[in-house]
Amino acid sequence: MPAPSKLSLYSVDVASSSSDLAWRAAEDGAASGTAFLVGEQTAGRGRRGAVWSSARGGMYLSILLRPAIASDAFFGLSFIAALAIREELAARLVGKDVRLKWPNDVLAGGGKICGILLEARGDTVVIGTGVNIAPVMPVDGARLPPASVHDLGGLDVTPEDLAESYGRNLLARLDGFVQAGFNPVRLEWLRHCAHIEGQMRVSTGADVVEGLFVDLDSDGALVLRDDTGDLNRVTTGDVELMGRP
Amino acid sequence: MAKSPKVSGAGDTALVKALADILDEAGLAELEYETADLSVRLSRVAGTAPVAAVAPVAAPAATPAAMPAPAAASSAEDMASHPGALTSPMVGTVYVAPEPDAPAFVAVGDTVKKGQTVLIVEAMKVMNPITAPTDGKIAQIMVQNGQPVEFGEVLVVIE
Repeated sequence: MPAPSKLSLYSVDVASSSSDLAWRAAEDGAASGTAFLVGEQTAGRGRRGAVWSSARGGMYLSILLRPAIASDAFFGLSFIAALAIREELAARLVGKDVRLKWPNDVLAGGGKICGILLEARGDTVVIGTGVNIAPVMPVDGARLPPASVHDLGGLDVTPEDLAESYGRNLLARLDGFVQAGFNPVRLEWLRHCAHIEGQMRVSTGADVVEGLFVDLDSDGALVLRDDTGDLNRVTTGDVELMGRP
Repeated sequence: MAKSPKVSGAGDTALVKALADILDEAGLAELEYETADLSVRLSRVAGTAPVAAVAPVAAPAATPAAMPAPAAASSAEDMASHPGALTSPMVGTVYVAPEPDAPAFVAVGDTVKKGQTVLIVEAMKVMNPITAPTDGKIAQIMVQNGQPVEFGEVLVVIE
């Protein structure tokens, strides 16, 4: 088995996006665990063309991994990244409930505090993570208002400190996942899930699926029960929480 | 796996001809037509005339037993054994363009280079660009934007 990845964190003041830097490094043969923290992104990206507000004061980090798992297990990285950043944020936001929305958004104080997007090419994965540390303006079209670490009382948190702790946490979790598989990840994710027994609406691109959250499946899919009692699995989509019935 | 019997009577031939004309005029790669008792799917193989797979939805009273199937019927099942078939490495959702309003990565008839992105499959917020394994030409695109795909499902055919 290859040696566990070691975090090598590089700070860059301004870039189009931290993931662009990580992919360039990947092409140059950078080792697993190489990470780029960017002070300000000029083209921060969310899912499917959504803009990620990237003004100075947030944590914009991309970590390059070459995990010793098959590409059909890469989905698990989406969840271990969420668990790692959730744990680090919860440790810095004393008394605040920090929860996860499927698959890997982090919610706190009634808003979204962190978003994660992954891209896989061959045996390489880049995990891009954005955390609002300083307060940010709402983004047009976003389903949830933004929340920030500073607004929630984590006044002494810096992007550098959070990036380093998160990177180490993530790499430690990656080793656990490679050895023990997805089920321990799944169970921990369920403990921190924001929508246990909640009603959800997911725009999957082609259509909209609505239902009550039932489970996180063994392949990371969201399992919803619709009002006829049928179970539907969702692997992709924009998730809206509708509250508890 | 049992397939629907493929039949074509005189009325069907006229229908297919009419649909083929629509396909031609609109410059489409694929067209599906369905009524209560008939489902027709036409696809264009690059550089050839449209081909049709006609399948009755309900079993017809008198199915010709030995009617040969169209030579190049292009259902996903038929294409799975094609040497240039590019299949989905995972369960997910397929995107034909990098962003919702952006132009598609490729169109039927485009020449692609090995390693060029032809589609993206997303699952659990992991974006997986699907790249051409060899140089070639896009013969068929078997999926639509936003469509859910299964592991092993044929996405495009490169020849």
